[in-house]
Amino acid sequence: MSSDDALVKAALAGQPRAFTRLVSENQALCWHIIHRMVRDPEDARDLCQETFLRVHQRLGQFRGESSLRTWIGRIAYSIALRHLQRKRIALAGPSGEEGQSLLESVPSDIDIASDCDSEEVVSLLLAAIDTLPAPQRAVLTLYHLEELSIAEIAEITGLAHGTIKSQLFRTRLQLRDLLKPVIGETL
Amino acid sequence: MKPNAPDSESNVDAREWLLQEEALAAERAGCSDDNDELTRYRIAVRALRKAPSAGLPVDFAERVALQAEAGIRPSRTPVAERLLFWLLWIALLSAAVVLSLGAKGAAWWQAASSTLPSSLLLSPWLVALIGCVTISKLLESIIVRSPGAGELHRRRP
Repeated sequence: MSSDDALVKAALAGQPRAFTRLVSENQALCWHIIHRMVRDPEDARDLCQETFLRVHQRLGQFRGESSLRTWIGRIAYSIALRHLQRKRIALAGPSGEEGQSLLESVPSDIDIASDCDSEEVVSLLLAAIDTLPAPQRAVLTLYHLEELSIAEIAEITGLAHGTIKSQLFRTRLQLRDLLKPVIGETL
Repeated sequence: MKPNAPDSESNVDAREWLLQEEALAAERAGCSDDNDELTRYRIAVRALRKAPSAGLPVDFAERVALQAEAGIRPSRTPVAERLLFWLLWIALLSAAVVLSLGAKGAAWWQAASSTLPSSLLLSPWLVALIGCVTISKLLESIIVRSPGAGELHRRRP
């Protein structure tokens, strides 16, 4: 029996602290997905709670076809998506397509070349990433922060492998282009 | 096994992708480099790997577990939406009843009177019973149970 199955079985059996352990082992994933998508910390906390209440409600349906982590991630992702749809927050970029140019999202009064501090540069990049559509932000977070594979991200988001890879590639390319005035001179 | 790759993957330059992955690996390993191209990608990856400054409360797992074990269910729709849903249904039903009575009121009443005892139709107890059942169903779907000790979050409209 895998560790996922054992933990789920223990939680279903009502063993003390089993569900607490399930939550604590997966709350970071849930938080990263939801917070990156909805951005508001208060909303993100509410939605994380809702996610784990739903996990508890549906735990009997977990069959082990995917890992527990991706199963929970899928629930978190769909809850965040529904929250954004309910708030009528656009899930696509302004042009209706995914992945607007990050170069266009940097304010015109910001000169990356003159911001020598690398932490400031990272902050500027984060601000640019924040303008991307919510599903794309989730993909980037799952790949780089949670270190999930493309296959796992596809299970969570329902996006095609090629789409995920394309989003990762395009975003990193654009971020690199934003840094061209800086690197080699001051960093 | 990868599913059939959609056209979007053909936009990925293989050499550039490898460079990006190299930068990600180097950033994870924390090793140094003197390649400007790699450095640009490493800073990009650094931003992408930056965790949010805000987080969940330290006792989040314990509190959620308590709520789950107490039988608190996730809310599907906000209170205002559920209330609006029920009010609309009541309004529609009321309009249907009024229109029916207006169109065929007399005929309907005669038919009802002939099949049911008039005392039953006019009984205030019957009206009260229907009203109580309707209101209790309405309240059951609207009211969110309080989690008791230690509510994790506030409900917002």
